[in-house]
Amino acid sequence: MQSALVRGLCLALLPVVIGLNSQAREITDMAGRKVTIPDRITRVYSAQPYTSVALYVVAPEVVINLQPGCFPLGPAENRFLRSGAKALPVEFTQPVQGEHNQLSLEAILALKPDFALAKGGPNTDASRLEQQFGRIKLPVVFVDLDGAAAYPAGIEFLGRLLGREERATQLSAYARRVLATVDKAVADIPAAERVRVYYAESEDGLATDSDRSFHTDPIRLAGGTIVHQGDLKTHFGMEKVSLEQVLLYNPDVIVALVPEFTERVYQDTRWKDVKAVRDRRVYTVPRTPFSWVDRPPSIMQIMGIQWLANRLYPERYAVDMRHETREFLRLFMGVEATDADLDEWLR
Amino acid sequence: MSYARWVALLWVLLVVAVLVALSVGRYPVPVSDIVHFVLAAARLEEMPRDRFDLLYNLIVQIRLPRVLTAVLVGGALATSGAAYQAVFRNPLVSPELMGVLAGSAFGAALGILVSGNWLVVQSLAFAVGVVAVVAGVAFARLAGGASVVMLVLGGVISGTLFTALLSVAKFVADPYQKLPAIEYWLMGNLALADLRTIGWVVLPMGLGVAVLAGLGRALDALSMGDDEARSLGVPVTAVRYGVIAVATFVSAMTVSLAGMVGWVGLIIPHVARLAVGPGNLRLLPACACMGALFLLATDGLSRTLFNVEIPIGILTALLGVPAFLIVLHRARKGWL
Repeated sequence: MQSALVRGLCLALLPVVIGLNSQAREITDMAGRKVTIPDRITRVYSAQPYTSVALYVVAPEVVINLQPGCFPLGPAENRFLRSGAKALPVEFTQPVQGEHNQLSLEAILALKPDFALAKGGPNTDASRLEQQFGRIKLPVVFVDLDGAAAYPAGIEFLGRLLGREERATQLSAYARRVLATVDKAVADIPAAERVRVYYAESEDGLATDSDRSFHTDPIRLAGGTIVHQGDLKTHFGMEKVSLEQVLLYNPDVIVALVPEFTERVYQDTRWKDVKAVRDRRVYTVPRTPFSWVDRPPSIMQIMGIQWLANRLYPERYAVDMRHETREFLRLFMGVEATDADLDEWLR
Repeated sequence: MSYARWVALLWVLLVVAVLVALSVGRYPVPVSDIVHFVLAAARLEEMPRDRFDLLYNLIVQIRLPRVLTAVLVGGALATSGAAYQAVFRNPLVSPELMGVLAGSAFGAALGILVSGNWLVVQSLAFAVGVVAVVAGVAFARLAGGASVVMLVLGGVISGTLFTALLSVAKFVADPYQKLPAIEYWLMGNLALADLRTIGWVVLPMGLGVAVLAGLGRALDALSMGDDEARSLGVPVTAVRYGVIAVATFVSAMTVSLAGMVGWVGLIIPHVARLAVGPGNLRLLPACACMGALFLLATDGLSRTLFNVEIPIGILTALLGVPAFLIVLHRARKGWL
């Protein structure tokens, strides 16, 4: 009985002892906070889906969890994960949407992370996450991943943080090149000639996001005009609209997140008067190994923006998409795509 | 106003409301176009092919299913609510009492989790809704008897159980696709059904509402108390279970059609009672009309006010609360 108590006490104190013994250093994160983290980093806990993907791209060796937003990782996606990543524990979260997930602190502690990585820039209110992780004495590091334009700097920050400078430089150079090329291709399109895009996020196609939502960011970067306009009502988005509203918008292109919607929409007579359906310009966002565009928005958008620009303006952005996709997956994910994969994603 | 006048007024209003609902929406269609469309459909007039197709799509394929869903769901919920209030001799009762909505919600969530197919979702919503009520009645019988109090307790237990199961389903749902789908289902959506689905449910639902409305006299007897009803020759237990069964059946169907639409089953019976009096023989048909009217009106607002749709469940609650307060204020000397 007594020995059990002693053992329990020792176990409880263990993290403190280890914390005292290991080498520590102080860094400044992208929210401008000073954080003390271990010198050698081997295990990083991702607090959100965005950081899961970013971490996985820059330093797959230190990933210890994938956030549920990275679902679904079915057999098709698993082929595109580095071996080892497949066995990662996936943290369940409370049924609260978006960034307000409750974290199971004990489960995180059991993963023995060196620190937690969360998305945040200079304007982030760090107190909520600090308080949460503070209960298990886990430092939080914020990395700015707000929108595609922030990715190159975010990747470089992660490179410095994790001692992967060389890889990070390579990745950020690619990201910068893509952003600049796409921007150059679409920047001078007059407003009247821009392709008008409706973003269909649900299976019935009637959940969407407006031109001011960060969810539609990649479509705008690729030169599209979002037909649904208005203020952001919730951070989570997915506003419900009626089919009549979509008919009224009459978009040139529909970008669809759910493949089941695309399969159905050409048969559904109610949709047949929508210009995009009539012109057969409904495009499903590839989700391998993570969504290329949104839900969750992640570094995969560097691929997604090229794909979108090519779909919206095949003449203006006439790059070899098969080649670009191969290169992106090789560079960012460390995997090879087969011809059949490319056929499926780029059809 | 006499009962006959009320009936005539309600029917005229319902027909007008259906016509108005068919002609409003986000896509502007002038009334004159609708007249031309009807004439063209009856082959009395020529209309350009593409214009006709567009109007057909808008009016027949997009608006008509919604309007029919609103009529069916509103009528069914209000009638079952009134029947429930009579059976349980309690004005604060709605079809939710025996756990049907909690069960249906869990069934739908389960369907969304295991498959994206709407047919699976709709079938499970209906089936689990019925299971929840059967469980509620079984709990009551386990505790001994079919008395009103025991049935209410059984329903509370069953409702709690299925609400907890719904929370589990939401807990394990993928927060990017499945969870929003469940949330939207829970807020109610009249745009889910297409004409074919409505074709399947219109007969059973209509029949269920008709059966409930036909039980008016027996329900009147029941509202006087079990012993009094028995002395009048009414088979109390059979009527009580029968009404619960039919009301469950139609309420579960409303969830299959449109998700969770709250409040209609609670407030419309009170509004109707104010109009035609507490006698169930007159009350139940009036409820069917008024429920349909109320949901037609709220849905009309939901799909025209903004460029996003306000979930119908939110609007029924927002419009229902003031309506309920007015009714309560004016009816204090009556039923309550």
